[in-house]
Amino acid sequence: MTGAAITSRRVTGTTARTIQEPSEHEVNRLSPLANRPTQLDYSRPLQFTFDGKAQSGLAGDTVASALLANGTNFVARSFKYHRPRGIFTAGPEEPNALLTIGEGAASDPNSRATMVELHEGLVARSQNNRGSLKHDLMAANDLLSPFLSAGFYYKTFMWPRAFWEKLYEPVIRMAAGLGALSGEHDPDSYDHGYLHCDVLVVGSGPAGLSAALAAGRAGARVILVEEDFVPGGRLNAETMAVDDLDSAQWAANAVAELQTLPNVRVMTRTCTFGAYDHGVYGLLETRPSGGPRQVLWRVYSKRAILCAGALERPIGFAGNDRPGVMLASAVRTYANRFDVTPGQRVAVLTSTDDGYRTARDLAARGVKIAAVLDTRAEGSSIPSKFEVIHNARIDGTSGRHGLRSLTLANGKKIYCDCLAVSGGHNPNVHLTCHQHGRPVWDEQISAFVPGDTPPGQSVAGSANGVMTLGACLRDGHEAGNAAAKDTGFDAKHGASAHGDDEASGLIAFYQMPSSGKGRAKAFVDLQNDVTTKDISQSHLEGMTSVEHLKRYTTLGMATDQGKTSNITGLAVMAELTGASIAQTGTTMFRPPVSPVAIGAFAGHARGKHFRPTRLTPSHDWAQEQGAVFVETGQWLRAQYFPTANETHWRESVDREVKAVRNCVGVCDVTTLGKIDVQGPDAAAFLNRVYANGFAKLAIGKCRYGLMLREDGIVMDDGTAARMAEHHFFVTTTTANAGSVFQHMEFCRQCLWPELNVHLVSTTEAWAQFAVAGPRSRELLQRLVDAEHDISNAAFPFMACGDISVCGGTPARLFRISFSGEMAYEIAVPARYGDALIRALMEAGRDLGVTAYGTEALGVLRIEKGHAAGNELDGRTTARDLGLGRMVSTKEDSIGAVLSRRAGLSNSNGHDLVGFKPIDADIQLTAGAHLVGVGDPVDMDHDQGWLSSACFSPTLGHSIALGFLKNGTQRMGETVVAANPLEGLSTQVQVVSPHFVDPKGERMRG
Amino acid sequence: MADTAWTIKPLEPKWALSFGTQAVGHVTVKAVPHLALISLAFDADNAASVAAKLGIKHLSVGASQASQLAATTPDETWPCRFAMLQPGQIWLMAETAPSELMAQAQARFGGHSWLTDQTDGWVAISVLADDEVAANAVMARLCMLDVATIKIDTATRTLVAHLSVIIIKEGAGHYTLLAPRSSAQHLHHMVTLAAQNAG
Repeated sequence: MTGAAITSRRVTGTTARTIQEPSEHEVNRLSPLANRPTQLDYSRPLQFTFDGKAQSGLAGDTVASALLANGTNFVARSFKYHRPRGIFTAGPEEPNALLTIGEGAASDPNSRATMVELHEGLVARSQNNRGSLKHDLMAANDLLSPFLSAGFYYKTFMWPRAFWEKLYEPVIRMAAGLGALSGEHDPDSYDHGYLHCDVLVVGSGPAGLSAALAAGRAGARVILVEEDFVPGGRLNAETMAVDDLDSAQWAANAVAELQTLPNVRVMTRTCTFGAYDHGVYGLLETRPSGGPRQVLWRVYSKRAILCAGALERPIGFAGNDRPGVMLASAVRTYANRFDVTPGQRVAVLTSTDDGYRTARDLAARGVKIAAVLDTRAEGSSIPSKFEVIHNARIDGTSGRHGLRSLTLANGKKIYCDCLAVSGGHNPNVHLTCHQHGRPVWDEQISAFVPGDTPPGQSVAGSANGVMTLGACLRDGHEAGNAAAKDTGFDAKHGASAHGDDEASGLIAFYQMPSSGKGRAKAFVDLQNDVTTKDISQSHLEGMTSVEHLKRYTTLGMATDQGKTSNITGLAVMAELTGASIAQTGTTMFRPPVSPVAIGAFAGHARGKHFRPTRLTPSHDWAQEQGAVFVETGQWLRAQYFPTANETHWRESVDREVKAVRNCVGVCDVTTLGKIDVQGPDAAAFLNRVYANGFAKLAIGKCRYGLMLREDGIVMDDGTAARMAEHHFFVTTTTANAGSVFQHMEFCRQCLWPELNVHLVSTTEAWAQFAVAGPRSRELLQRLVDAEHDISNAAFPFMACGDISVCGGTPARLFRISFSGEMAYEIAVPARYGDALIRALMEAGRDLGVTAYGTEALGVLRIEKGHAAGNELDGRTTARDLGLGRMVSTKEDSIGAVLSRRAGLSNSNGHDLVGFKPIDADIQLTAGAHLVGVGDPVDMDHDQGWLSSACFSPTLGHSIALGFLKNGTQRMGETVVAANPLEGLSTQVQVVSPHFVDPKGERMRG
Repeated sequence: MADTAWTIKPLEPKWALSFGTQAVGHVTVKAVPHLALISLAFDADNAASVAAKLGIKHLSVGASQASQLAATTPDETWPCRFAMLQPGQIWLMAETAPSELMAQAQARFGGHSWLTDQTDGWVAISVLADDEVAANAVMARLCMLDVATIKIDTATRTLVAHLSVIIIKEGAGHYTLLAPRSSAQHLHHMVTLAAQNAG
C-alpha cells in the first residue's frame, strides 16, 4: 500500500508547497492530505539511526512517527519478561517505546519515542536487552514467567538466606529495569526561572486554545503550555472541522492569533509536571537547540485552567502486547498528523464509535482495513464500508516480532499487521490530584473525572469529562472567560468556536473474557508487565485495597505512572471483588506527571556554583601564595600556607604558630560578623543582649561580650568596641554572624521597640586582619599614619579607635587577642583589603612576618584556652566556660535569669579545663569521652568529653580542651580519654586550659 | 624602619567587580563598582524631615528614586538615588567617592540620623536593555519577582541565586542588583549566565 499511497508529491491546498520524494526507507509514509496544513517539512529530510541502522524521517516527525514511517515498530523489550514491544501510543502516555537517545555522556535513557522530536543525526537505541533487540538473551524470562508472577520477590528466592543480597538481588536487578544512565557527568546545562500570569492554561487542544483565546482577548496575562512541540493537541490529529475550517488549520490560526497578543505567552515543548499550593505550577521546558537543554519554570498563577485532555484506554485480551497492537487514536494521529500508517493492513477493535473514525480516516488514505471488531452488539452511527463484526471477542494473536493475525473466539482468523484498539477515554486528572483532590467516577463516560479542585484551579474540556469537540470548545471558552473575569478583566470578547458534537456510543468494555485456551497473557500494564492474571492472583492473596494491588503487582508504577493501565486494572479488580469501580477507588497521583531529569531540578546550581562562595578581600593574594583553602560556611578561607619544602600540613601549621609566638603573623579575619550599633540607647541595648554590661565601657575601649540564649545557654561570644558615645562596633563569631544579627534585630524590633537604636550589618564592608605576635606593634607602626600613637601606653590592651594607614586610608584598630600574644585587629574598607595584606607582608618582611590560616588560628586559641565553636555547642553555660561571674546579677539581660537555674549553676557541673597526654607521643582527638582510670567506657561512667584537640608546636605535644565534671577541682588528676569509635584510649592529665601565658602578660605587653 | 627597604605607598583600592560593561545575549550587564552607598537610620519622629530633605512628600518602604538632596545653601542641591528597604532606614547611592557622599549626607542629616558607610559591603550590577522584555526575561531567570508589573523606582529585597539581593528598578529595562561584596563573583556568574540563557 505504501508505494501506491505515496503518489503525489505536490498537493493543492491553500498554499502550494514543494514536496520531495521521501526516502526509500519510509515505506509507510502516506501522501499528505490536501487542504490541510502539514506539520511535516517535506523539504527537510532527516537522517537518524535506530540500533545502528540508518533510518530517515522528516522535520516535524517524532522518533516514533519516523520509525513507523520506516516500517519499524518492534522497538523495545518489556520490563520483566523481555517480550517484544512496539509503539503503542502517540503521546506522553507511551508505556513501551522507551529508547535511549544520544550517545555517551549525553545519552538520555527512557525517552519516550512518541515525544522526542526528530533531528538530524539523532541516535536512538533500544534498551533492556542483552544481545540484539531481536535476539535478546533475557527473553528466556518469558519461559520462566510462572515463577515471576505478581509479588514473586516476596515469596521466592528465600533460601539460602545469604544468597538474597549476594546473588538473587543483583541478578534480578541486572535482569530488570529499563534504560541505564551513562555514569558520566551530564554535559548539558539546565536553568531555572519564574513566571507570573493571571491565567495559566495547561494544554493546547480545543479546550485549551479556546480558554487561552477567551482570556487573552480579554486582556489577561495568559501562559499557554503545551508539552508537544506543535500546539493544537488532538486538533492536529483529527479530520474534523472547527468554524468550518480543518481542525488543524483552526488550531494554527488560533495559535497565530495568540502569538500576536502581547499579554499571551505560548510555551511549547513544556510539560506541566506539578501543581502546588497557592497557584504555583511546575513547568519543564525542553529547548530544541542552543542554551540550556531544559528550563524548570515555577509559575505563579492567579487562575489555572487544566485542559490536559483525555487518554484512550486499551482493552485487555490474550496477546495484546504484540508490536502492532496500538491505541486507535494513536493510529489516527500517525495518519493524520504525520502521514504515516503503522501498518499496511489494519484491524480495529472498539467499544465506541471512535474506533470507526480511525478506520474511516485510514481508509480515506488508502490503507486496507481488515475489519472493525466491535465489542458492542450494535453498530456505530458512523457509516462504514468495511467489514464490521459485532460482539467481537479476540481469543489470541500471532506474530513473533510483530502482529500477523488475530484469532476470534469463534475461531475466525483475521490477518493484519496493526490492530487499533479503542476502549473509551480517561480524562487526565493527574494535576487535579496533587493537592489531595480526589477523582470521582463518572458512569456516563465510565471514567474518573476531577473531583474538588483547589482554589484558583479549574478543569475544562475532555480533562473534565467533556468528550465531544464542540463541547470542549465551549467548555474551554467559558473557563477562559471565567478566569479572566475572576482576575479583573472584561470577559466578553467573541463567542466560542463551533465544532461538531460527535457521537461516542461507548459501552464500557475493559477485558475479553478468557476462553481458557492457550497460555497467552492478557496485559493490563504494558510497562510493568502486569497481566490480568497477576491482578487475579494478588486478589487471591488478599490484596483487596487498590493501594495494595499497586504495590504488590507494580501496576501503575514507573515512568508512565499507569496512564494507559490504571482504569483497566481497576476494572479487572472490581470484577474480581464484585464491587463497582467507583467503590474500588483509584490510587492517588503525585508530582511529577512525567519524568523530570535530576539535572533540571539542580538547574544552574552545580559544581562550583552549587551554592554561593564568599571570598575574603585577601583571597586573590592568598591564592598567589599557594594557600590551601577550607570552606567555613559559605566562606572560602585560607587554611594554611604551605611553603615549597613542606610536605605535610602539620609542618606548615607548626611554622605559622611558631611565627606568631615568636615574631608576628597576619591572618584574614574578615569573616567575623560585624554589626554597627548606633543610637542614644545603644549601650542600654547591648546591656540587654549581652550577659555582661557595656554601659560603662569607655569610648575607645573594647570588651569581651558573652551572649546567652533565653534559656541561659551560651549563644555566641565576641567583642564590642565603643567608637563613640552612641556608636558601638560589635563582632561575632564567623559561624553566628547571621544568626546573631537576626537575634539582635528581633530584640530591637519586637522586644524593645522603645529603644532608640539602629543596627547595620557591616560584615562585608570591612576587611579585617589579625596582626599577632611580639613584633605586631612594630609592624603596624610602619603602616599606621604618624598622627596615631599606638604605643602600649597610648593604645593599651583592649583599646580601639579610628585611625588611618598608609597616608590617609581610613581604618579601625582594635587591641584584642585571640592567640594570647600581643595582637591587634586592623580593619580597612574592604576595597583596600587586598592592598593592606600586601602592604603588611611587604612591610614586615624583615620582621619575619608570616601569613597564617585557620588551622594555626585554631591551634593558637587552644593553646590560649579560648572557647570557640567546639565549646559553644548549644549545651554549655557561662559557668561551664569559667565565665559565670561575667553574667551580671545587677542588670537583667537575655538568659541571665534562667542561667541561674539550679541545673545550670550547679557547682558540680562540667568545667572547661585543659588536658595533656601522660604519654607525650599520643595524639589526642576531639570527641573522646572522659572516664575514670579503670572505669568501664560506658555512659554510666561518663565524666565529660574533649571538645578541641591539636598538636601544640609551642609545647611539643598534643593538648586538648574539654569539659570534665568538677574539672576545676581536679587539676593534676589523671583520667582516661576514650574514643571507642576510633579504638583509641589514653590517659590524660587535667591541667589549666591556659597552656600558654596563663597570666596574660604577653597580650598586655 | 630606617633599615628596611620598604616605603609607605598609598593603598590602591581593588573593587570586587572589575569586568566593566558586557553585552550578553540581548542585554548589557554592567558593573557599577564606584557606587557609594550610605545607610541612613532615623527615628519615626524624623521621617518627615528626612523626606523633605530628599525632596519627596513622604517615605514608603520599597520606594527608590533618583532625587536631589535638599540644598544646604539655597543653590546647592546634590543628585543621588535613595532606596527605602525597611521602616526607619534608607540608603543613599551615588556614583561618587564614598567620602563625598558621606560628607553631603552628614551636612543634611547629621545629628538627626545615623549614617553608616556601606559602600564596601555591597556590589552593584546593572542589567540594561532597550527592550524591556529582554531585561525582564533575564530577571525572570534570576528571581521570583513579577518584574513586569513592578513600577519604576521600586526597590525590593529578594533571593537571587541563593543570595539576599536588593533589586532596584531604575527604568524600563534597567535593573540594578545589589549583593554582598563577598559573593560578587557568584552573582556576576549567575547574572551573565541568565543573560546568556535568556538570549
